[in-house]
Amino acid sequence: MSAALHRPRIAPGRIVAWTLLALGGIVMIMPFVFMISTSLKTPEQVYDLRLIPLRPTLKNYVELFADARFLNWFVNSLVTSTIVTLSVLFFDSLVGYTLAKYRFRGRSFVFIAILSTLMIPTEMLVIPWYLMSASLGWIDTYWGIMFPGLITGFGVFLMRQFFSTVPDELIDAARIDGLSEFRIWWEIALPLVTPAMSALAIFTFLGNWTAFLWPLIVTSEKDLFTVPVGLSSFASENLTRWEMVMTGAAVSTIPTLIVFIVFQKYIIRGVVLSGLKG
Amino acid sequence: MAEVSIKKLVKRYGDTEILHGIDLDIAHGEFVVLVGPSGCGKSTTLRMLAGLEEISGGEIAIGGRVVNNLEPKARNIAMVFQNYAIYPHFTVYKNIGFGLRTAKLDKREKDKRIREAAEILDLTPLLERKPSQLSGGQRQRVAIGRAMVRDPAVFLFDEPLSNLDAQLRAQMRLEVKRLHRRLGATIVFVTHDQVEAMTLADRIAIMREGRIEQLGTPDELYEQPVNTFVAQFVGSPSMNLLPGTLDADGQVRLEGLPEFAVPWSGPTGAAQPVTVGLRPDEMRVGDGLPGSGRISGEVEIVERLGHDALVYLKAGGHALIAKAEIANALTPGGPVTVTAAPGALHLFERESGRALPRS
Ligand SMILES: Nc1ncnc2c1ncn2[C@@H]1O[C@H](COP(=O)(O)OP(=O)(O)O)[C@@H](O)[C@H]1O
Ligand SMILES: [Mg+2]
Repeated sequence: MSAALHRPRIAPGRIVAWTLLALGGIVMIMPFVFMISTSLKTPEQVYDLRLIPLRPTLKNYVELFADARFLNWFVNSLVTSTIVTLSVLFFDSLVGYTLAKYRFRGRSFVFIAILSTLMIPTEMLVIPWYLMSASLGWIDTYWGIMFPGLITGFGVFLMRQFFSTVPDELIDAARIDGLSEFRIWWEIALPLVTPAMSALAIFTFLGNWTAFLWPLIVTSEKDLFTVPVGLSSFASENLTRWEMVMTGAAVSTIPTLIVFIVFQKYIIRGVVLSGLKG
Repeated sequence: MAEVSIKKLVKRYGDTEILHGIDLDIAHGEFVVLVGPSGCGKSTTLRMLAGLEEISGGEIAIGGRVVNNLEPKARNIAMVFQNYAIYPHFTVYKNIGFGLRTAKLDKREKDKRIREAAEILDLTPLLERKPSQLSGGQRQRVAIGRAMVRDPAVFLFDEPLSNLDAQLRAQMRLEVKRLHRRLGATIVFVTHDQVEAMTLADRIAIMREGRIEQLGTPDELYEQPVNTFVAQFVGSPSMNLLPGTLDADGQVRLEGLPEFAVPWSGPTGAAQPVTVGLRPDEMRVGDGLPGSGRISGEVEIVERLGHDALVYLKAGGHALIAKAEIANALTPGGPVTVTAAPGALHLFERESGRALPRS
């Protein structure tokens, strides 16, 4: 009897919100859809802007994977991004933990110094980085591509904030239980900040996978290009093969998607885990 | 043997001295409670015992061995914290057994100890749960279990019951007491709650501002407080402290209450200003025994406690509390007379607050 009375009404405000969100979503996903669509087109169709190709083909993908250069770039990106991400996860969380949980002279000075590096844009740093790399022989090496990102101010900041929420008593309890300081970090503190670690992993991997400016500057040998640099070299040859650029771009989203899916799970699980607040 | 000996213990943070030379000897198997108002240095003392805080001066020995420079794990102690401090990402079983990981025991022995502790603490059905699925009391029992399995020489407790509700606190208090009897271990227990201290302790150390004011059995502290601070801290409701004089004729008199005159049992000299201490428990509503001191005033509030009641009264410009039989018909605003027997009196020097000796 009351079913009719209590039928949920949709508030007008909600309709507006949903419409705006839907529009925003479409705007964001369009480039992605176009990328996929173009990668399925033949060279003649590329400037035919329809969303669904007339005769979709996987020929571009076959060509891409047959191209040793692309596989090479893919491996370069995968290796450098993975190493940088692991390094950031390890060192940033170690430094963040130290800043959050140890008292020592100059602690806030160090923290502020690290924070202040966040204010400097990459564009300003690439020239000093380049000069440094040139004089140390790091041009055209993996190390040259990776070194600026191995520890990040942002990651240290993020991890410090999250480690601050780990109760001191827990750490003291672990000390009494006989764990070394390193093991306390590894076995007690780290598992409690998995959401932050996962977010940091996603950000770092994404940022390095898509990094363009610095890898472009520090590499000149095609063998050492990363995927974005390599794809742009597709574009800058006398004839730009957009369908190949888009195919390469489409393939290059796969690792980022995998990283995202894997770590997103940990974010949710981490929130459930550390939901011990009283 | 696990006696604890603390000598001239000092703690400084930078230029501020927090502990000013604590001396405390604890016998093997003794239950000692450190009690005092918040910020008086109880936790700091305990944490220095545990090895979590550096020692700025003095010496700590456990079982005859100076431990000043030993890591917590080398001190053979276990600690239970106020906020439980159990690992949220481990099961109850793993939490309890965590401190045993480095112990040189075979697997079966470890398992046996964990299950024994769980049995004693009523945690057996919960062994596979995560801490987030436990109540506060259960979490604290897990923390106690974790301390138990290590079979330490000394148990350290830092306000372990403060986060529990009143009923659970009373229940856990009993369990801690039972545990002490069962394990026969040396226990140092910190609390700000004097009831907890009185009910648990073999001996109590009352602390104030980084010093031990008095060390003694609960009875000693109650019967012979060394100063007004201890006198007010021990006992509930607190001792009434009233300004008075100890006259040359050996009579104790109260300011503003001329009818009150009670002979003092201790030595008397020239008349001197004193603070007179009267425990609410030792005052009677009504006329009392001959020779008792009389205080007449006006009832402010009557608080019923069940069997008896607390009477808040105003007399001679002072506020007092007395215990009364519920049968006494007392109404707020009405007159009341309370009496104190001569033996119930505590006297303190007015200036220093130090107790005057009774004979
Ligand atoms: N890390 C610290 N730095 C400076 N002062 C501290 C520090 N830790 C504790 N204190 C001070 O030491 C005093 C005693 O603290 P604590 O032992 O925790 O008191 P309690 O446990 O009796 O409440 C307090 O006044 C507190 O402010
Ligand atoms: Mg404390």
